[in-house]
Amino acid sequence: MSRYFYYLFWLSLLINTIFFVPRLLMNERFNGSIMSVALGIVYGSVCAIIFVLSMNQFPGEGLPEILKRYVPDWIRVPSLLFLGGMFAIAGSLILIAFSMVTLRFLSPETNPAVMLLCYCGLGCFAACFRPSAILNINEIVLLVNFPFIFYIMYKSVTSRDIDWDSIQVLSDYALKPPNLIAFAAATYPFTGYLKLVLYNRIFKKLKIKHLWLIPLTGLLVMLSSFLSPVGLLGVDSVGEYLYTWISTADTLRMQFGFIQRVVFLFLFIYIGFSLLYITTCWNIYVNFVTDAIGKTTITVKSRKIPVQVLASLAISVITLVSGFRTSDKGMLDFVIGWQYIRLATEALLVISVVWFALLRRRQKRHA
Amino acid sequence: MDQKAVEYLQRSHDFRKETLDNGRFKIELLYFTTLCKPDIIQKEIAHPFLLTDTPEAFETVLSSALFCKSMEEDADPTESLLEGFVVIVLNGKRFKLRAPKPGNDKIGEAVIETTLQGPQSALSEDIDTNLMILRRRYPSADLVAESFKLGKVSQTQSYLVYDRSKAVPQVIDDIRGKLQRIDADVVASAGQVEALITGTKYRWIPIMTISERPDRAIFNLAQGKFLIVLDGTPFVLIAPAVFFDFVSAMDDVYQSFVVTRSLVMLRYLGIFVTMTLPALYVAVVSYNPEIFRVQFALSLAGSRAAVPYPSFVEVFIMLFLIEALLEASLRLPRYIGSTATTVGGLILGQAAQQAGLVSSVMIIVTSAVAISNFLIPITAMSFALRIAKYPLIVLAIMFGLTGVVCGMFAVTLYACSLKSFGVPYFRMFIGEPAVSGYKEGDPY
Repeated sequence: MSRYFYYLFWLSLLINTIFFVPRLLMNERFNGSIMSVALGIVYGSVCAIIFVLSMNQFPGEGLPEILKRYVPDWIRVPSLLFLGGMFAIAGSLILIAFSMVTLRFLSPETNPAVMLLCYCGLGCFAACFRPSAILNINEIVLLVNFPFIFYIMYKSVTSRDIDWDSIQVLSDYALKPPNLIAFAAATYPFTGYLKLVLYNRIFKKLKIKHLWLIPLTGLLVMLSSFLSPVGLLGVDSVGEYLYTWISTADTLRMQFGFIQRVVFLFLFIYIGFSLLYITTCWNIYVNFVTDAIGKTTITVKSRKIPVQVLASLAISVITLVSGFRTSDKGMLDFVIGWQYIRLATEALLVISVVWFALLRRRQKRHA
Repeated sequence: MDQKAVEYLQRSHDFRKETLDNGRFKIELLYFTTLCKPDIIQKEIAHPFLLTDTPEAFETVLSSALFCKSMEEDADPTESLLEGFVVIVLNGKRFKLRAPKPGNDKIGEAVIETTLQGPQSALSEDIDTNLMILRRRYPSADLVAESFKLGKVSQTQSYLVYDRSKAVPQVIDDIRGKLQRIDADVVASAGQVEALITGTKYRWIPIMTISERPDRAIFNLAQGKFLIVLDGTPFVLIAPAVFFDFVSAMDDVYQSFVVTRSLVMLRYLGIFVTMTLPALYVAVVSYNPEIFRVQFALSLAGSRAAVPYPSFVEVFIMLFLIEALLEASLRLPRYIGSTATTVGGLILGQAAQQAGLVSSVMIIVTSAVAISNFLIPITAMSFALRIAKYPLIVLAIMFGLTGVVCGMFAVTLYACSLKSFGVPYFRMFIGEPAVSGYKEGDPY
């Protein structure tokens, strides 16, 4: 069963190494990005591993159940709502970013509102499913798409046009001291493990094995995500691109392929991954809100409506409106601010869960 | 004797009320000639009746006969009579003897679900014959057959069959309750039973397998699933089902590993093609012709040069024709059926393209869609997936390729969220016990 944990982890790794993270890292590439990436990989892996080991103390329990056990209601409810909101924002950011990407690269003539409506509608529909269904579709989508991902990575590393000089140039800046925003960006791809806060409910007797996979796959994906754009786009001009990785994929060609430009293959895969990521994040948010409110239906005009549906409708409408009003630059500024909050929240969450796990072990020993 | 009930039944001309007299005492027989077998009446009643001297001696004869029970004093005989019993009245005492005329118990050839080199016969339309077939192929003391009567009027005889050592008790309790709660007048077929025991009215993908093959029934019994066998239909319902059951043909068990796996891959590919190809055609032609290499994009545009309207119109024209053809050749009498296919083939072939109604690529798309739909071994599933392409086409019209991918995602998620009697329906590693060596995985 521990494979489901890795699907969640890898999904986050693959999604976040494509969108804002390379953008943020490229901004700081002469300013300590490399050191930040190295530190980020270590920090992310350590957090992931201790978090997973702590969650293993609570088989079959998600964060709502754990909080109920250790903290009073006036802390539990706001913190659940806050965490749910953080997950919702994480999903919405990817949603808006991806609708912009589709508009830019796949159908430039479509009305942005229509594109957002398509994604928001699907997200709203998908967020209300059972958590175990969400895990199943994670498995299906990821396993079906992995061969293509490997192919694209292989293609990008072995491309004739890759300029190893650029990467060597970058090595001159390897020892620059890390800076905070690049560090925050570098740890973001590792946050997939946080989804255990909900999905641990399903793992009744979970012992997550092969923990060494976390740093290993993290390292590989981070390196290829950080270095191939530099090699393919050039160390100077890589800073000019808004959607760094998609432009990188557009440099590749499949000479004998049915589809010639790799970017289309890449986009199809990433539409699937983004939908998956949005679904998973919003599913966590929807479930947390339901738990925080404490009842499953709300009566509106004498009709019972599930809280889940209301919550997912709310986030869809918010995303739709804010996606319509925002611009590329506004998004990036928001993401930079958001990364700091996220980093702090993540640290706090890991520390508190570790603390709960220690409490639990002490209780077990006394009992 | 309930005279009123008998008089009520006598309105039918096939109801018989006869008095037999052997010179020493009399008996009265009540039965339907169409439901009872004369041989049995002759052998079990008339013949001994001739040889016995006293009513008491005949009573012993009746009590010692197989399938003969004495009836309560004031019980209504109607129900027994309608089930094929003969009611014998002897000095005011009543006995009933089971003497049913067999229904259609011929075992037909499997025609809906054929295999190349597997068992060739299907189940029959007679429930007892079917149970005989199952017992003979599954000679285990654990095989339980629980009898149910379904339908208020039709009183259709049915059996819930399962292997007690393998089936999950909760699942059996669940289905037992659902069968008892069926509230319909007439129950005639297996598919209808599935509809009646499913909670929601709005269902799309079948979550119970319908099969006419005894070998499939046996393999599923051994996997711990249950069967619902119904009188009057050669099809059994099998549940809990997973999606893979609908993609596996019985030939898969009888072929080698590599062949089987390749065929299963082929079927999944077929499912993908039949669902997405028309939608992809609309999206590619109307939104993103540039995703293909330029030569292909040009030849696609060239083939559409004569077509005066947008791509989705031609898709709808062609899909209407192919669906109409499928439905027509299914319903038509066999002799007219060949005409329909010939005429339809002409329209779907060259003519439509030469008339400039559709592009030639669209004709290929249509036939690919139809043919790959036929790859799905279980008919219920291939019908369900025939519907799936239309929402995808609508999404393609509105959102282009993005819509198609979103639609596929939504369909997959819907399938993932289904459960068949508590068993997850659609997932990558199904984890069912491998009784034939063609499925494996960790137990659920």
